[in-house]
Amino acid sequence: MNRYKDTMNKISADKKLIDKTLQRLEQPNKRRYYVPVLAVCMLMMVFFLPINKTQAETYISLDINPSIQIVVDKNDKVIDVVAYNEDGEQLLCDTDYRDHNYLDVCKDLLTNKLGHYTDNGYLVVAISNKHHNNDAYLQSLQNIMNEYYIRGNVTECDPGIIDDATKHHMSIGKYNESQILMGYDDTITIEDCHNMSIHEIHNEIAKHHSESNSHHGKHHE
Amino acid sequence: MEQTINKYADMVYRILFYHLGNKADSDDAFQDVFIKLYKCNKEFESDEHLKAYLIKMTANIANDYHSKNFWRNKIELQDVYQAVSDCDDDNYEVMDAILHLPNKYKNVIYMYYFEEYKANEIAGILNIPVNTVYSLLKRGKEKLKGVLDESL
Repeated sequence: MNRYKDTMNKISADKKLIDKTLQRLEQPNKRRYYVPVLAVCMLMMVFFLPINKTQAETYISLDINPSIQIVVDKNDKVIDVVAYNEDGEQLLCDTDYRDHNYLDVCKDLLTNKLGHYTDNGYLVVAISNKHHNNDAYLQSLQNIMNEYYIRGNVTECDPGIIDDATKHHMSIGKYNESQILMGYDDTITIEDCHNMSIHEIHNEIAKHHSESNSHHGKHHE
Repeated sequence: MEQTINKYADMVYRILFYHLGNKADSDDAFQDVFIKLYKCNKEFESDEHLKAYLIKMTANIANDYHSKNFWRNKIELQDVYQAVSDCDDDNYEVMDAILHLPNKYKNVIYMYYFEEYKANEIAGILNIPVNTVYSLLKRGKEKLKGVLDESL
């Protein structure tokens, strides 16, 4: 066994730490039996109280490797945050962003949760508002990226792609980039793009773009 | 959950200590890892899937701690003595070198030489190109060459 492995083998978690962790994990269980009672109460409220149906107005996707999509209502409140890959799931699993202002959520995701990804990666932010009112959202997200020196691109998408993106279990940003890539290369399918990272898709688009620019330049010569 | 913790406690702790270099942060982060895993409530296809997921989650949490404590970048030898039990001076020298390796090499070096993953498996787990894995392994090895023998 090499010296590296031999030395690393000397590091281990002590029993006290393991027991402490197990104790902490046991605490939430005591509340579990309240959940069915709460569920019944809420179900009764659904039938007996008027409900204001919350409509999704704007979709904001963040793709850097984690792929996340934020769904926002007309009051700029987050009604859902969806992960489209395991990295995204890991980031979201212990946080509930619902009812928070979308800008606070985006700032938290971009500066805290995605912090070390944005240090080295290229972020693609896509925005789609159902009434094509993207400007304010575009400006806000661009401001955050400028303020925190996050490398990337903020783009708007047609609301027509939202359903297709959802059908293919992709964020609107990744779906949009996939459509662009497929426009350059018709041998690439949406399933191929599904298995590619946003970084790979973006690089392929850049390659095709520079090739087509160089062809264009030669033609003019 | 208890079974998972008992099975992977040492692996998680090693990765955390490897990144953070001190017992206090490693202990706190250790609890955060398993609490987060519990809250995720994810179903895994296999033990290997769970292990890979846990490695990535642990590395991400270590990165979060590292960013919060960026000012504390000097690793004290007493922290090494605290966490590494039953060691001789040779091990301390090796551990000191490993802890001072730049962060970007740590995950691939650990996964390749300790967990014995192949380069393409590491690429899949960390979601980086396989060429990047080879490059990080090569440069990481060069940085450790002065302390570790040729068996590495």
